[in-house]
Amino acid sequence: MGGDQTRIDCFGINEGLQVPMIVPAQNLEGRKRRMKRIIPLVVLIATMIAMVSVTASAKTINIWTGFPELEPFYKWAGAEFAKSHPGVNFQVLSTSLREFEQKLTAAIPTGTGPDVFDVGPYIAIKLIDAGLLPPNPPEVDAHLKGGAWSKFSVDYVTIGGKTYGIPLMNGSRAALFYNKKMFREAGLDPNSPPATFPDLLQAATKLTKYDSAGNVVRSGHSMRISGGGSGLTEKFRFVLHNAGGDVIVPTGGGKWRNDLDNEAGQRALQYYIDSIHKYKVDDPQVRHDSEAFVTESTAMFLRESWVIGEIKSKNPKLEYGVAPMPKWERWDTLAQPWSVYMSAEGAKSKEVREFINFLTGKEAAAKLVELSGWIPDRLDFDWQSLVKKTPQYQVFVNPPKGMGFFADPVMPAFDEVQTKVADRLVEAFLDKKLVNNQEGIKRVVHEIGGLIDSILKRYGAYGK
Amino acid sequence: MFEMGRRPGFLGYSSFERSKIAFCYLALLPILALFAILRIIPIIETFWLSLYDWKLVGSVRPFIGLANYQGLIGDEQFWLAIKNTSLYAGASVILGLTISLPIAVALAGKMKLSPFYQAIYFLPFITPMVPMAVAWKWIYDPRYGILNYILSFFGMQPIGWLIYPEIAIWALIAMNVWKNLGYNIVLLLVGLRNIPAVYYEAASIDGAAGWSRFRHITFPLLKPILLYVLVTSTINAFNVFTQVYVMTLGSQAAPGRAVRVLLYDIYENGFRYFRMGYASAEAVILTLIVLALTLVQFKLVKSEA
Repeated sequence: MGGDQTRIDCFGINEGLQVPMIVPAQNLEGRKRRMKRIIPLVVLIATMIAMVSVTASAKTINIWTGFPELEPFYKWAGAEFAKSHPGVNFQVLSTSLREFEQKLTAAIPTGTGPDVFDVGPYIAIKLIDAGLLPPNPPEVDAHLKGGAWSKFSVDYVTIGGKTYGIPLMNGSRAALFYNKKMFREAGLDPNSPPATFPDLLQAATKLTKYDSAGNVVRSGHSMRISGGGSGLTEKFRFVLHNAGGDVIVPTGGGKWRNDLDNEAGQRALQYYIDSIHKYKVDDPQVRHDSEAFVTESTAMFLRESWVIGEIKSKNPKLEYGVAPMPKWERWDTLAQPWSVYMSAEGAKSKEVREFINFLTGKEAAAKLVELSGWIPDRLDFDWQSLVKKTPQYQVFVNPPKGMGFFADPVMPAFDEVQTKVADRLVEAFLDKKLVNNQEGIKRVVHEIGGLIDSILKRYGAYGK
Repeated sequence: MFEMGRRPGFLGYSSFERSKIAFCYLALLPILALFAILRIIPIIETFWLSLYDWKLVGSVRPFIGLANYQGLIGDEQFWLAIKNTSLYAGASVILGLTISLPIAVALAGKMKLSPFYQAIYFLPFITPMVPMAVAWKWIYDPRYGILNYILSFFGMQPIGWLIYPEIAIWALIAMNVWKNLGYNIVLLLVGLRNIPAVYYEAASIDGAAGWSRFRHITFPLLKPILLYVLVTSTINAFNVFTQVYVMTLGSQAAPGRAVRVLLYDIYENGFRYFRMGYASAEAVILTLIVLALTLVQFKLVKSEA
């Protein structure tokens, strides 16, 4: 072992032996190289541990929604809230409404759901009924009853004397969207949109365009006639309710029965059959819904205020107006609070409660319209400046005198009723044999009425 | 007299043989345990749930015996789902085999580009179902779909493939046949290539050719593989869900009733209406149907073999 190649053990590894240890220089160099490699690794691990600790100490509030258009609003609200609540982070998950509802209802019972979510009354009532949603804590309850919401809205979220959730927006207030340019082209006055359902059908016949083979290439009135799901029945109710009926009506004592197996039900179904097959103002094979209206593939359709936001972002040059829901035997539009809820109490409850109050506060209300197109449910919302900026909101925020409202019944069976009725309606809408066939229409509404009552009976909610 | 190295023991096995057998069971134990945890226990649990009014949400879950099964008897949607699923499965399996068998026979011959064609046919099978279903939704789109565009050259009017009840189910069957064609072909090719050449040589000497050669040699010797393809295709077809779920989403899609299949009905009852007990009863029925069909197929093919 030559002097150049040896080093004394300076690291005290063998101190206990009290014997100067001669270590080969090559080994020592190797050890140093290893140390050089290890030190950055140790630093990296320490940094990661530190980051994880910081992250763990931060509180992340998870928000889920079934309205993708609400995502920018939630993100804005989260960022604003975080300014006054350092250490609170937000994660927003948005999917299509039906997928979201299914994900939520599977997650809440297992305690893996979001901290904050917005959902329709037909889903919320199932969770409330099962004891999976806590009633509002006192400070949220006080916020709700502070005068910013109408008595109707407060009553709507009051179940068994307790309030659940805070109305975020007016979830279903529908009106008639119509394309002014198409009205002019068809020789119709763009300033006097159809005021009744028969007028609507008549105008639609003039607005529909066909190809040389007689196929609809642009619908006059885009109706929800395919796709299934409870949304289809909801849209059918626009016609059915104003025809004088409804899907279900209360019979007292918390019981319900169908209100479709009657003349109003027959009239509503016939309206659809005539529109699709007799007058051909719509066709299952053309584009539908907001997509059709935004791309000018339809002249008219009935929808909520969020469409205004969609038009702004996708086709801002679209020349359109928004008219009140047409009249018939009645003159009502669907309007109900769509609430935001917190899941069960936990470590983040304080921040979640404060966030919900912020989310449904006055400051956030203006941003809700701006970022999503949905209108807030608050009474103190400054709708005048909104209408000045976007006149199409007028019908939604300042409905005409004489027009009433109807809402979804808050009862657990309603979602199943709506979804199953939708399946039957789709089948009926496509049935050409129902044209000029009063007996056939009568039979279909009778079958659907029976289906509704059978579901209500299974839930123990049927009353004569 | 005892043989060298063998001593009589339990059930006539020597200790060495017993330890070999024990080792085999021990080696199989992890996979058997996994199979029990992932398959057997859930099936038993599903049957157990089907005897309760088990809501996905809620704490009251009373035992109701066979009431869920009684409910199924009078449930129109359940029978519609059974009818649609049976049609879907039957047509998919029959069409799938009818189309894949001649292709496999052709590819098993001395075709120059056989491996290339096999790869092409197999591609749809390895493509995930969700993007595939989305793509097919567009292919079937009445206004912008490529299928109607192609048909327009033949003077055909646009067809709402996923809209009309009488067409929608067949549109899904066509997609399924196309997707699984490659899988069937590859399996059948394995069977065809394992048929010893000596039989064909003997057949040639005897003057058999063409159809008679296929009928008397190829087909009988292919039966084990045919049975496997038949059973797996039937099970897969009865488990149809993803494409129905994806293609019925949205406002421009298939009607719920026309393409209501059993798994979709189970899913809707379980996760939309929270009727887990009822959905479990449907799942038990589905298991029994698939089990019965598999046994029948085994019996039929084996008895002919």
